[in-house]
Amino acid sequence: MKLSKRDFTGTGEVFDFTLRQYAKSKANIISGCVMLILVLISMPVVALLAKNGTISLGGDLFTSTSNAETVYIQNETFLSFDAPKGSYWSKTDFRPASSDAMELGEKDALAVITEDPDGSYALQVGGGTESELSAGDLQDLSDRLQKTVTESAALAAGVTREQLAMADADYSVKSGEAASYAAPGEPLVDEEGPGGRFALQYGYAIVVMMLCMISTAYIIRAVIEEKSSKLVELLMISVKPMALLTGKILAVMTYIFGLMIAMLGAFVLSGFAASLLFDFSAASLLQGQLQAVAPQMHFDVLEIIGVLAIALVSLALGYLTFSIIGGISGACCSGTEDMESANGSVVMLVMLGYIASCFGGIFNSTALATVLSLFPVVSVFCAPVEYVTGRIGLPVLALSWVIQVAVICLLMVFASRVYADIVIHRGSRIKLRQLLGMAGTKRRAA
Amino acid sequence: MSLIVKDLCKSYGDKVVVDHLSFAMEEPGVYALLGTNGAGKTTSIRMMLGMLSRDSGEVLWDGRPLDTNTCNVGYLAEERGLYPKYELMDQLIYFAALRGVSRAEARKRIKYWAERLEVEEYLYPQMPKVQPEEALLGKKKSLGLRGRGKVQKPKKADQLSKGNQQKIQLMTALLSEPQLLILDEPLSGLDPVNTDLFNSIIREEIDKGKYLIMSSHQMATVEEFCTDITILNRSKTVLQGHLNDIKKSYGRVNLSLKTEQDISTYLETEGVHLVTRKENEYRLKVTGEEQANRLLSLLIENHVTVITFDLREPSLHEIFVEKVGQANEAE
Repeated sequence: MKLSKRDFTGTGEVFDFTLRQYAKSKANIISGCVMLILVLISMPVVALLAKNGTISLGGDLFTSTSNAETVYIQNETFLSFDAPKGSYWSKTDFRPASSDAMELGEKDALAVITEDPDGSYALQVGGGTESELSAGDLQDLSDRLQKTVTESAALAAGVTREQLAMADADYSVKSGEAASYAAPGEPLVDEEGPGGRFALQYGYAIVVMMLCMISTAYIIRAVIEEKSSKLVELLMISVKPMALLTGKILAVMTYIFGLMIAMLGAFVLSGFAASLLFDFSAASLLQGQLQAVAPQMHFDVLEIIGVLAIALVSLALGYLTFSIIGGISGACCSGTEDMESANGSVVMLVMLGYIASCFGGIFNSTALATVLSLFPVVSVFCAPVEYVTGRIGLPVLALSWVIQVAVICLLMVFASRVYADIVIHRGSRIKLRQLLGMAGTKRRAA
Repeated sequence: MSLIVKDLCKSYGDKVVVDHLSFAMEEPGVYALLGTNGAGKTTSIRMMLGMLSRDSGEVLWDGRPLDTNTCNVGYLAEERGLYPKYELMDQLIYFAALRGVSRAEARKRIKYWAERLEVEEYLYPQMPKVQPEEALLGKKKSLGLRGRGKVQKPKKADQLSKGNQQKIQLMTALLSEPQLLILDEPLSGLDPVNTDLFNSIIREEIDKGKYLIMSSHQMATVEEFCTDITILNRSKTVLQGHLNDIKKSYGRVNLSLKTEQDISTYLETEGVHLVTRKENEYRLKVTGEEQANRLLSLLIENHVTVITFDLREPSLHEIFVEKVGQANEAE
């Protein structure tokens, strides 16, 4: 039995109707709004907490300057040091504290640095009794002074500025077979180490897993509801079963991906709102976080777009694979009471891919990475991360996509053989063996 | 145009569910597909429409394989279904779109059929009804949110009664203005008023020159509309042909008689078979018109007052029961 263009006539109408109904569903509207609101307020809340000093994010995340007018530094050590660097403190006057008792203004701060007899240093930072300075400002000032004192101590001990810069510089680590060591100047393939790669793999696999589980649950529910509402016969008079399934899959895909894009848009708006309200740079925060998991990447705009495109293609392929399986699984059910078992089968398969990808992240083997990246079902969880972390090249990534597309085509052919019969079937849930038997019969008949 | 069904067969394992079903409709009209429960009627219809694969046989519409592309088919399935939680208007527009009817045209047709089937209140938003005394007194109860009359929203399928759902389903079958209309048990579950409404619509469709295939257990309805029939029993065709010819072949053997006194002795004399009796109303089975006339003469000669004398062919119900019974006995 071959698929033809006629098998998909009516897909547009099914797509349009299904998408409209999803968009009109009160439950979907409420959950979508709640998610969007949470994303919208996320960055302003993070900025507010960082500003108050409740959380510490590190780095120059605030684009504004501090309210502090003068910071008096009472240096009771033999160290000499410069004022803290960074644009945030550029308008603040750092001056030595006088030995007389000082009265601090509302926008003044005092830092006292002392040296203990055992050679350790103590740093105390605070404002006056009527201080208007925020806890975040004082925390940031404290962090910067601490760094400055440490550097000054090293310089005083005879370390040159060049040596200090060298000690502070990033370095790459690679562990593995001696034969695979890189030559001097050659970039290390395994620069970020297994820990960083695992974190990235783990995070990405969770996103794929959530997307596949949520979307297949939608598909399974839609198919079972249609079947249990005894609508299938009415629909099949007008559209082929494959159009019915494809329209639904594409509608759910559009809905889910649309929601993701809306969330991304909301995130951008949220960052914009945070920068307007608190002079907070969400981009710097994101860049810092990404850099922490994949230090070899630069994460400039082009690179981020490329990574997003690769992730989207893999997500779409994964979604299509699991949603076709979900559609077949749903059509095998006799009614809504079988929905859990239909969901369970697909969840098992998704979990298989997820766990395999996590294992791949733990083991430091390029061969395993290549195998997992090419293996159908698992590849959607692994291949993009393995490519981003440099363990597989673009040809392997492209090959993994080709293999996954081939699997999707085979699933479509299988669905075309059995879907019409199983969706009209009444009675107990169809088992896998029966399903394969039906496909075999159709193949022989064809 | 013509519909030809040739040698349709379907088996599930060793169980034959449709055994060489063949029939033809050369001109518009109503063809009845009758049979006991599980005889294979719905399976035959599903095979005709291509929903189920057939083991053998073919279905031709105007000489070409029947398909939604070759023929505009309307279908009222035995298993009625609508999306329970979606608005009815959305569903109707969707079903029309699947049959290639534009949104604007679908709205026009929905309006017509909603009026015809008396379901407008479920499809269109309704204004609140104003109580006559309130209107006269000029009272306005819209003080605060609780008293304000709300526009009633269009209904969803699960808010309708079974009969009204059936009307919506009939609309879905009629929206594409089909050439071939297949009605599987169209009147089951309807009250007498709605049965009459459905009957009038079926009559309209016949008058428009449509081809109708009807499967029903309500023999009176089938008898009213159908010109040709096929009776199925346990997958096999047990009787087929033009309804009038079938009836004629049985002859006029059913006699209904109402008299003013007991006529049991005359019935025994004439050897007439008594089917039922209720006081002086008799339902009799005669061998033919001659025996019926002899009985009538005998009653007149003996000064029996005859109120009703009705000699007629057997009803479809009787033919059906007899044929199915015979087939079961033969097996």
